[in-house]
Amino acid sequence: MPTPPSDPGLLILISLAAGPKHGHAMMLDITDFGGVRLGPGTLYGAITRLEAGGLIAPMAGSGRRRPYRLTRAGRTHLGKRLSALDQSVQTGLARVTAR
Amino acid sequence: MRRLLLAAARRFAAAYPARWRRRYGEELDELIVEMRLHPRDLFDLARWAIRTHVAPEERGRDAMTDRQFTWISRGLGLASLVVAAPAALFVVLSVLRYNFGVVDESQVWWLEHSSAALTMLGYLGAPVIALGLALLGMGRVSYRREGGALMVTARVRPSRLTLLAAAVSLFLIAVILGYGITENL
Repeated sequence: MPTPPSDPGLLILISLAAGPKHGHAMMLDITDFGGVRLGPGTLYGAITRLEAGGLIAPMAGSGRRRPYRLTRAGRTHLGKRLSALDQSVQTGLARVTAR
Repeated sequence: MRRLLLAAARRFAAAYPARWRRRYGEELDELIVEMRLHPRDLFDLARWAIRTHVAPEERGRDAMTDRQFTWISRGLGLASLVVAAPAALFVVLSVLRYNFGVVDESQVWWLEHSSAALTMLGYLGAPVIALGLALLGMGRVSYRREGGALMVTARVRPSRLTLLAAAVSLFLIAVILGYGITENL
């Protein structure tokens, strides 16, 4: 299972969970909370897949910027992914501290 | 340096598929103008441009879902077999008549006319239409509208039913053609 810092799709979903954002705002937010700087190709590759999967949706934007929002399906998907990750993290931490 | 990087990034962004660029091109350009570009971003753009060309799933959503495609493909495969059925009956009866003398000409009136070129073309028409239907069932053609432009993509996805229908149609075409040629020699 991919860990959050290496999964651009998950990072984008986490970023959009705080509210709609356009590409550059997502990039800055992800660098802020994830410590990862996504390249422009990686960012838009992930946006393409997430939109195709119905997890995010474009909104009407101003000028050439197009903000994206998390869909209901995207929020559910994000919740499930984070719960699964949390379970793995808790198990891992428990095993590490037990030794 | 920044101008050089921006010019190079735009070059790589222009290498994305035209369809993808029509949807995301402006946004990507705005991003590379706004962001602080690094030389490694050029590699990132080049890598994703190639990936978008190679992997269809990176290009966006199809108008047709997998479920819709399965049903349309099944329908066309079945339609192909139904269209081919009369020609198949004709071939079976002909084989029985010529090889085993099982069917008498007087019992099946249209066998009397089977050697005529026009009749043969008529018999050939059904399997050709059947083959067309089977081939249509194998092709997944998707379309969607983006920014006023119609995007069409086509992929070949044969199923067992459409392959069977195509094989039956081809077999019938070969038999009827072979029969017609032999009769006319």
